[in-house]
Amino acid sequence: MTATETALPTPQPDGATPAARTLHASKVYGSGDTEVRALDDVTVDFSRGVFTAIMGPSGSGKSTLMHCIAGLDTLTGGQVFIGDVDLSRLNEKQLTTLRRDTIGFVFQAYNLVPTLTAAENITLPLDLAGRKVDQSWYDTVIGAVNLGDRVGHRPSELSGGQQQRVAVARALASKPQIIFADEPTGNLDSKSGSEILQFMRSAVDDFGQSIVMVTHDPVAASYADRVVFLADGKVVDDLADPTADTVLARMRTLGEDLSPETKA
Amino acid sequence: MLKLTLRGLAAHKVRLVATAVAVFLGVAFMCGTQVLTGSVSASFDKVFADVYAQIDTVARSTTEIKTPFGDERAKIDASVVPTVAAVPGAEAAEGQVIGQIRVLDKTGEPLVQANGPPNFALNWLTAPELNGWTVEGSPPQGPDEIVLDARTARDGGYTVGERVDVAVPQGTLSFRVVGIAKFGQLETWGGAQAALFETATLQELVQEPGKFDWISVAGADGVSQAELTQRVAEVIPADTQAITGAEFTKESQTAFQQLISIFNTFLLTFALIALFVGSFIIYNTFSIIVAQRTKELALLRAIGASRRQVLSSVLLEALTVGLVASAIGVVLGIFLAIGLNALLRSVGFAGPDTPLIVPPSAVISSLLVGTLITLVSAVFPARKAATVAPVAAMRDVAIDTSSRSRVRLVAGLVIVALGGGLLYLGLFGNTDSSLQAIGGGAAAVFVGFAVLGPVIAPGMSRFLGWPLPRFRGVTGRLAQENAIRNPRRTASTASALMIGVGLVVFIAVTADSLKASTTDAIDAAVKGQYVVNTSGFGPTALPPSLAEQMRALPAVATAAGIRGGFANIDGDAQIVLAVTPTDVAQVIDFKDVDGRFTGISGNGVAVTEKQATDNGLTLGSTVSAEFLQSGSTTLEVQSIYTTQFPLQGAGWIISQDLYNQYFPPQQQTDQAVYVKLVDTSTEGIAEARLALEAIVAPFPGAELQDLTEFKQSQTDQANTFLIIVYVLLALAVVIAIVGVINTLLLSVYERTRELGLLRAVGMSRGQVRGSVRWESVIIALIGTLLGLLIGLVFGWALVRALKDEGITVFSIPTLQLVLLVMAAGLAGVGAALYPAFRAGRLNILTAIATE
Repeated sequence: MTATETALPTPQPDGATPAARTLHASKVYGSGDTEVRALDDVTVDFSRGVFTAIMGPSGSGKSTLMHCIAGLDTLTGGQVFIGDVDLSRLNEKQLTTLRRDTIGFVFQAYNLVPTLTAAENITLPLDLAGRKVDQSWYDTVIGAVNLGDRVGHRPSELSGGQQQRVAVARALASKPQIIFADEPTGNLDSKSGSEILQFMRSAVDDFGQSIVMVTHDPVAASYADRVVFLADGKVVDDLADPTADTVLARMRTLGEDLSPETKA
Repeated sequence: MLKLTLRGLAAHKVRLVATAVAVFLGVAFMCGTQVLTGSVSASFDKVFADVYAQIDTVARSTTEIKTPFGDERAKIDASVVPTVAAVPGAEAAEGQVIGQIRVLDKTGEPLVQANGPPNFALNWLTAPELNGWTVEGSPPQGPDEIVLDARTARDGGYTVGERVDVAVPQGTLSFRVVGIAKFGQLETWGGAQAALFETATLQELVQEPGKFDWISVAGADGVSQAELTQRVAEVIPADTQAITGAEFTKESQTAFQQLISIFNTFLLTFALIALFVGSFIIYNTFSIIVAQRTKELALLRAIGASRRQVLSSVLLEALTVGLVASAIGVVLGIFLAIGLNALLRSVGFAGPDTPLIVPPSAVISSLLVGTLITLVSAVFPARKAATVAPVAAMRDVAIDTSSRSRVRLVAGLVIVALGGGLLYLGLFGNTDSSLQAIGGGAAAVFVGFAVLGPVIAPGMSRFLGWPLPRFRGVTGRLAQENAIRNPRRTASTASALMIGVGLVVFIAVTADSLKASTTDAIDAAVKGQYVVNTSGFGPTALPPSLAEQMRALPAVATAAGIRGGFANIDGDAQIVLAVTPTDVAQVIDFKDVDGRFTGISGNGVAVTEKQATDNGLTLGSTVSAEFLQSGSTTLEVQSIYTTQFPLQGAGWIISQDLYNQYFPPQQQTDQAVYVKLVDTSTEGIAEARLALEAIVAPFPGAELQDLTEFKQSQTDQANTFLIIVYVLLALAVVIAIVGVINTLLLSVYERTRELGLLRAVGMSRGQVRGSVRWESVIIALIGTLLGLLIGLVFGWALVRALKDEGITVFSIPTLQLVLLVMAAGLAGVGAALYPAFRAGRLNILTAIATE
């Protein structure tokens, strides 16, 4: 299967446009001999209400892809859409607003502002926008985070797993069209990690949230509805309803395909 | 380890820029001051050497009064001249007359203002051996003739043959310019304005016929100065002395050096204040750098670097920065001196054009002080660096834990208390070194508050920042929290500003209190309606005829002049004022404590109550009074009085009749004339003005003031001085603001990840900039408010201490202080400009990728 062939539109539950998609996206660093293709003609859709995992070896371009879709980085070719919005047409200011209002982020570490309490971190994007917090939604999210009275504490007083839960809650709080999570469990022990993944899973199941997660952990990927595999900046496979075993097996074959090792 | 230090320096060069700025501004100031004063001093040394070059021996009176404005010496009689001239080996001997007159410009105003260069009238010496002037035209020979120095002639636009007006105690006289003179090659007589007259004419003008200031003697070839002086000494009368030309020159040079050393000390004080403020910046920068390098230092320790090695690596870094910055400062200082020298020259304060002299002591002391201050300021951060545990390499960066320690609180309070004690001692105690005690006490209070800073800062940040979350939302909340999160950093940054602001407030409060006290005193004690004021002194003050003319006006009830001069009272030089008691009591309120002020007569003297207490005087006590020209007498205390004006009490007051017996006619001039009108209604006062103006107008330098104007002029006296002090303090404030910029830059750098996260989740560039800006405003306001508090307390203490000197009112210049706080807020905004720009421009991807 080649990258372009995998770009089959996944079924849209409500018939609407995908939460995010790319069209012939490419990202090239340098030129001539030093040229590096981080993304090479990637066309992929991320449907609404779906939990998608992006996997691939180091340097496969999975982080670059996520950064570009999330408006943190720009493409050198092709297009990125969040909903109907073509990101290449947005200026700095509009991109910031877009990130604030329609995208949620969960990073691997350093997700929270240390000077703000957990609760303040959760409402941060709303506060930045000067928007009023939807109290019932806020209560729902806070309830799901399951922090109890610790929401008034600073991040330094929370465990790593609690901090990541707060990060997910922050991403949920503004009801974004799509959440991007970059190795959200990378810094956690397996128990805390599975709690976070379960939390994200239920966000998709219970609230219909769309989530795109970059990971290299097959167990983490198994929580997703779909796994997109990247290698050398290209989409090389697409797996629905993954389990840890199928993911692992697929990764093994990918590893064979990819020898000798290449660097992106 | 040396390699490491150098690498460290290279890696942190940007961060060290602020340290360097803090050091080199202070050092430049220090070096510039010394170069300037050294050069001016050297150039005046040369002036005196040139001016007196022809003189081998000076014969003069031994009677002198050492006034704060220089020594006054009695005249020597003209009859001594032939005696001296007859001494074997004396080639020429001539009496010198030096008086003070004012050459007027063509509009009738003095060519030289009161605060400009000195203005001298000299007699023309006929012996070429003694006369250093070369004249274009002819020398002054008759009572109508005058010769001007080249610059005065040029400034006034006078040419040979024209007439020029000159103000002398008798009034304004007109002379014919017969020559324009240069002193050697120079346009002026060492920068002073000089007018040359024929000897008898000048003696007449300064009302000292037959008297000379000294007798200059030129020796024949082969006769040494010492030999000639010895021979002269043997023939001159008692009460006179002979000194060599070299000694005479040295005396003038020393007197000038003493004058300039006051100026030097004054400026150096501000340089030291700047460096003191700078030391906070240095301390802060090194603290932050050490904190940011904790992991790196821990790694070094883990792989086997000893504490001593870590310590010395940081100190070596400080040493290098200090040395380099001081060297830059020295160079900058020399340029500063060149600039200031040109400035002084352009305002007329100028010696001859000698090249700038860079005294090695100036360079060495500036380098030493700058480097030492850097090193000392870095000691605490370096010790902190050395205590980094090797395991810290494996941990996250430690947070600032020391902020609220009890030790800090106690230490801070103890230092503040010690400083307060020293201040009290200096202000109210009886110590010879009160200035040192005050300076040391003030410094200790500042340091104490700086130590307390981390304890105070979070609370103040919370308090000052409380409106921010409300009006600026999460941006404001972040700014507030950021100011709180690193209390020590916020505190030491604010402390630097606190010192500058504290001193400004202190000066402002003291000055305002002085002004308010003066105004109050005038309101309470001055009963006249008009005052004639003058900027001149002695021969250039108001001639007695002015008061006489006023008394003759029908509208005038009393016109009381006040004159004064120096006399040795019980051996000490004191100002003695002379009045007509019955007249002056009508225009100024003198309250009798003992005896009757209006009743002093004969050898009577009136003293203030304080003087009486201090000197143990009672009615009937006697003091000896020595006058320059007319010997000594004994004064009897006939009145003990108090008055609110002038502030310090008028001091020794004798009757004008007595004064005129003992002071030469040229000093029988009024310093001020107080006028009481017959009709004191508003209309009456307004009506009298025209007639009074008409009398005052012909007297150059005299100014008629009603009471409102008088108060204004009395309170404005210190304004120029105040402006100079504020400008000098501004340097300390500028350094403090550089410190704020530096702290913000380092903080922004440190918070790269956090800013990246905020930007990623949707914080706009404007919001990022806003949070940095408001943090800066909070820091600036903390420093300003602490400074305000300390300045107010200092000012209050000084005002209390000066109660006996007549400063009875403690007045706060509210508007000025409000403006100051607002300016501090704006300075905070300004200081945040670049750091906020940097923070806003941050690349999100690299920021969140930073490990």
